Amino acid sequence: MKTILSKLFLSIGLIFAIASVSSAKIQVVTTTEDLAAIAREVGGDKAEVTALVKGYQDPHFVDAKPSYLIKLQRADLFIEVGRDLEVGWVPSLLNSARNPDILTGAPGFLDASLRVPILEIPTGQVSRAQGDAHPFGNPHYWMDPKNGEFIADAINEKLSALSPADADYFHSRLEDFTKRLRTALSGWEKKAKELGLTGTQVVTYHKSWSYFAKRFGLEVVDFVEPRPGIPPSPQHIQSLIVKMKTGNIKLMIIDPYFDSKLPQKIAQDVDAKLAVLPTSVGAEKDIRSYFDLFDRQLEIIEQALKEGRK
Amino acid sequence: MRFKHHLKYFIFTFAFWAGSGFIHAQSIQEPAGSGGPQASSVFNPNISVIGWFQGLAGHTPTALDENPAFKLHEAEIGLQSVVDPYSRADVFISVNDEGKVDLEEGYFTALALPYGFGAKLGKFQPDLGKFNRTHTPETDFADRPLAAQRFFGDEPLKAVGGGISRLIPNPWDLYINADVQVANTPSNADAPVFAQANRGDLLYVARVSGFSDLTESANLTLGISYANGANGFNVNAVDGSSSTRRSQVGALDLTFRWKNPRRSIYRSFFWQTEYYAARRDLSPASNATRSGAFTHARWQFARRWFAGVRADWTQLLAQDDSAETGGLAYLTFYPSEFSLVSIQAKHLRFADGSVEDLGFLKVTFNFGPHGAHPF
Repeated sequence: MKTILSKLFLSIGLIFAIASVSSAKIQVVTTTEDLAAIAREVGGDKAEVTALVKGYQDPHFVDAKPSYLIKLQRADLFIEVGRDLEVGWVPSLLNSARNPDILTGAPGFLDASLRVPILEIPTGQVSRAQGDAHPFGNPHYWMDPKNGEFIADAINEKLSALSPADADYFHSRLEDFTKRLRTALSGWEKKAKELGLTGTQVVTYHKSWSYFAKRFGLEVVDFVEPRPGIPPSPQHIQSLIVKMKTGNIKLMIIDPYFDSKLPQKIAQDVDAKLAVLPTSVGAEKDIRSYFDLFDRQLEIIEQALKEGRK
Repeated sequence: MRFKHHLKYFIFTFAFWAGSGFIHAQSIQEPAGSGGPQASSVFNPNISVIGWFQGLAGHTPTALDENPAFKLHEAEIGLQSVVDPYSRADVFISVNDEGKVDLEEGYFTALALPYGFGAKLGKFQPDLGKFNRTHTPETDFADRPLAAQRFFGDEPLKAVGGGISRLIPNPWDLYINADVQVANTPSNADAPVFAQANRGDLLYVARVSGFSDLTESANLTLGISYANGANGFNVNAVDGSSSTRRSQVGALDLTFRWKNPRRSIYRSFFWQTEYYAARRDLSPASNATRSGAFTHARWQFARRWFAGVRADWTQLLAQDDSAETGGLAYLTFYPSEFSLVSIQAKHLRFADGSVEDLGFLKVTFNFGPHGAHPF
């Protein structure tokens, strides 16, 4: 009996020991899978990283589900894309999570955009007449792999502040990630040139491809949405078709969470190729890392251009 | 005795508040200092406005229907801001086309309490059921459900007081939340099920709600609420003493949502049902129990189009157990996230057998900073 009891106590002790070791990891919650992928690169096995939104979801429109509150209440660090991308759902979650450590401005809060060179920051008056405009600039900055460096750098700083004893560990992982990312970036840029993307005119569905286009030399000439977040009218579609025909625009890019029926029809009418590109890590089963995302995006564009040239 | 109880509650809440400041003072960055040329505008609250225009047509059994054909039902002005590293404040003021100004809600929320507690103080819509938390312009309807109207009035139940909330840990790692609120009992004109008596006769509200993801696309919210408030008072004709009558209200709410996350802006389904039961003291020796319910289903069939139906049933508080029944159907178009146009038809059969058939045009528009999408 004594043996059984001692084994039982030993087992319970082990469970608590394992639990305490696992809880010693920094609990990181991110809004998107992209931020989570980069946080895992920097945090390694010292951080437990969870993303709220799946890679195939539209991060503009996410239900602020109460189940997210459980994750947020336990978080040591919360990371958002920022620039009002998640303004429709994150503020209410943070206010309800009852975790003061991750409130805006607290040590456990990180707006990952703060070090990133942001595009399209409005200079004049901003109003809803421009659609669902982002007054702090275009928030889709993670689609330029170069910006992954800035995101990782900010995450490293936060993790190091939260756990100073592990600062060297995080820093060495940051350096390794940055090195690998720079190598991969030069490969992607080389591939984009080989594909002839420089100067290629494209139409995209939403204003989410500005960073990607700038990095790889594409020229976005128009959008299926007449203004961000506003569905297209028949008149807009007609003028878009005319513009694509007269401009000989042969490539359309859409995000995977938009209905592809209308863009498909436009592409058929103007004899262009439609590329449904993943916008985030996790958008497809095989996109497991930040590196996989750009590999896959360029692979899909390559396929679309090859088909177009046949 | 009751005063001592209230005093204890006050001290308890204050202690949490004060404690939270000390506990978190070390872990939160200093608030930005004043000064700088734009400081005055930087620290302005978020200001938003929701306008609610309504057109009305149809038949009512009353001889003279004074409801106008067109009405700017209200313009609701929201002022929302972080107060300091430990708290935020939200104020909603409504103005109607007759110039009546009303404080819809105005509350202060403590964000940094220890042990995972949340707290708020001010005027708010108590957590009695789930539907009561929603301001009428933000509901799918041109009116409020029949049972909610008969029990709590044309507006949501509102009260001035305070409350605390906390997530309840559980072995299933489910979201289970508990709210406890104490407030002044509303007047009978505002909320027919209650009637303010003495200052000390407070309204107590408690709600436990649970949420579970059934699948990646579907989820369920279940809530159970209880409220106990004054319902006038009886005077003993012999010795002149008085005693407060009480009303006890129980509410059950069930909400089912479906939305494919891969196509979240195109298709969704929402179903909500709420049931209320009220036991009101009529005299020291007698009471009456009345109940009511509504169920509402909404289908989003295109990016900007929604259709829905609501079925109503309720008993009347002041009568025998005869009931009113009704229903409402609507078709709503959202030109953008920030405006909607809805046509609605409502049929209502009163307890005396007379019938009301109304049609509504509901138009709402909002401007200001992007507010959170309600869940």
